[in-house]
Amino acid sequence: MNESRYRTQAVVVGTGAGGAVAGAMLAEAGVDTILVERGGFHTTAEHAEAAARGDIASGLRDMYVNGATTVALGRPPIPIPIGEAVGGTTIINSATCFRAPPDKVQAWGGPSVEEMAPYFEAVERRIHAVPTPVDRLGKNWDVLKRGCDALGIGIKPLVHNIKDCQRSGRCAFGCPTGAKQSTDVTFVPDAIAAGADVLAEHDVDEVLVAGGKAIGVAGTTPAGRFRIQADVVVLAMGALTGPAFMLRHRLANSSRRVGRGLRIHPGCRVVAEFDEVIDGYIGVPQGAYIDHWADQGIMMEGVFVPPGPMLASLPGAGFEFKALGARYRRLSAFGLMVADTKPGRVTVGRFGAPFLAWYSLSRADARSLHYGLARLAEVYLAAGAKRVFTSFAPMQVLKGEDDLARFERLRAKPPHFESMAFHPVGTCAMGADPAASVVDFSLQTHDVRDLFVMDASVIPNSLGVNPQLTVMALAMRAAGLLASRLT
Amino acid sequence: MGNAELTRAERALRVWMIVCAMSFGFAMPFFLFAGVWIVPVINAISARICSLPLYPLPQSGMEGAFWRVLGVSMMAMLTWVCVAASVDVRRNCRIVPIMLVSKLCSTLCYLGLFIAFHPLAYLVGALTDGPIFLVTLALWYLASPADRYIDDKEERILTSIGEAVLPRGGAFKLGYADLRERAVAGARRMMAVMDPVALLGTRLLLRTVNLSPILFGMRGSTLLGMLPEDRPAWLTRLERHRLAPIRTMFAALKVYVALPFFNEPEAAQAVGYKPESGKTP
Repeated sequence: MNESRYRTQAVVVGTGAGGAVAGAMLAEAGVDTILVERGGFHTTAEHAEAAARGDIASGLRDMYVNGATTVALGRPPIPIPIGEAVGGTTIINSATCFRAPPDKVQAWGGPSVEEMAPYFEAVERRIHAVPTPVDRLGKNWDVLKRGCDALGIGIKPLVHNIKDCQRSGRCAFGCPTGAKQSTDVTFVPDAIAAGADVLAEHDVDEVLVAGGKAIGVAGTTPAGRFRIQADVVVLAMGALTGPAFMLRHRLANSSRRVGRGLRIHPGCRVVAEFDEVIDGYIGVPQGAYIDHWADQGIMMEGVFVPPGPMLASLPGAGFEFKALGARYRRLSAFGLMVADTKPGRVTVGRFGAPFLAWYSLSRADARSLHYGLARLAEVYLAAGAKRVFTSFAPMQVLKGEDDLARFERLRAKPPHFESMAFHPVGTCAMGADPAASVVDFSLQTHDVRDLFVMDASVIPNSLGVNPQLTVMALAMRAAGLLASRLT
Repeated sequence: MGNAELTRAERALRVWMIVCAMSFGFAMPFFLFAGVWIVPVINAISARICSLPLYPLPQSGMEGAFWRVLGVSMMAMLTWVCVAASVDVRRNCRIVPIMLVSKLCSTLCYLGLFIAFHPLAYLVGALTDGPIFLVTLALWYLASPADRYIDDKEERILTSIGEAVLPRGGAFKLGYADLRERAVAGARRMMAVMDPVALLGTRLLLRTVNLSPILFGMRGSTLLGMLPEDRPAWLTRLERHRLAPIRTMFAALKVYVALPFFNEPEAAQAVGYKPESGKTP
């Protein structure tokens, strides 16, 4: 079989929020760098073509791990969609940018809030993270604002890494105008401009280790095998695939913490039906947020998707379901997520699965979800919704205040929720103690010299907000430290 | 057919068929010429390690030879099945049930005889043929739809769910039946990128939903056997079931129906979705 061989100073596995930033920082510092990505490279023109057809299935198929069917097994089973393409999950996320809350950064016990601030600023500048203009948010925003104003609750536009948004409403399926500043249009091209090579559709299946030191990676491509010898190896495969890979190859796990400590943001979607036409799909799908209950770990953020995924999540079958489908233009949707209180775990994938994730919703988190659903339903009813669809099995539809009062009296249990989760972190946690963490604060593994992990898995706690900016800032800091060592 | 064209499941079945063909091929002359020693050896082991009754040896050599000939002829047939399946696994996948019937029959008979009479020889037979049956069944089930991902029956189940969820007429005219071929092809494309475990889970979900009226509703027919006009009510009942796994089962399959359907431009337009309408000049 053909084997392509390469020699470089640094090899970075993964091109998402962590890998692309690390690759660009290393290359720009003059380090000979190769970025390796399992997924393919998808152009803005491809996204535009799919958008013109109204096609989202190809996006789900080509840019998500397992076609977006990755699920954490537990009570209840919770889908956790993650990306797989040049750009990683940044190519299919909602482009929402938050800095990690200061109390969460302090809890790391590593880089301080002040030390992280310049990295956050630098990342925000490079990915154009600014509050989205209200005229880009669409009528979904108008409806929520009306409800929030009636109840005296604050709602604000989110900060997005989007430049010149054309309101395509397709953030999660590949931006058709190149407006979203995901890493495939920012840090990856920057890395290439600085001299790095990017190998797409290259699946790393081995980290080469000799004498307790990482010396490269090997893997497969459609054309055969490849092997890259390197001075340092940076793994940035994400918080689900990464630890499963490390466990499979028995890498850096003397602490037995690899794969443990999985934290996610379990979430639910609330859909409301109005008399007026809303056309929620026009505008930034995750346009605004409500942090009124953030002190209880509840964050609400916009969400709206094309008819397939939207209607598939609504109840009913037959003519009743079609009647609801015909009201698609009159639907509004908003999501909520909770900062979880109980960790899960990632183990090695079996029979071709890239990983197995195990996670059960805690009763406390179930109560938070229930409370959040009630508050969001209240906002929608205050805005004049005719019906509110709750994602809560014991009472899926609310038609007014009386229903809401009944809804609030119900006891919430974990299996009651049709939930999704996002933002997996914590499975290769950073820390000073080699017995209780996988990587140190420079993100080098405690066990294997010159093996680094620079992705969401190093964040040891649930942030309560979207983590892409934090992942990028941590990778920027760690890659800067590494580059100063290599040059 | 070159190996490169085979699916992963087909390759696994092919390897298993080669292993089985070699095993049966080797066992044939062994049984014919040395089979007379098998039962005495098992009896000797039984006498040493447990107090189970011994298998009665045939009264004469001629009687044993008669049964060995039958056994060898069965092995010859199974060897041929395995060789044929391994030579062209996609086309000859359909003959693997011959082996499944044989191994299921022998496993059940051995188990029954062991329960009734207790000789170790019957248990050894069940413990040999049982795993062969289970492994062959699993690999055959995974490989049988080849690159269609779901087999004909599962496609009928998926279609019946689609037509129940999205019947013709009502609030908008277009129904699943109008776009059936494209919607099923879309569902297949979604399945094409799944890992084998997820795909197996999806296929089992389809089969379970088909059996759900019998399993969860004490009814006499499957979903496919129900009148089409009764299916939406049944699926709505599944969706509202108090047990979360049953609700989840239908919710998961609804995605494979609704998503490919509304991915078609006519269906998306029928609910008012105009993909370009958000663009600013």
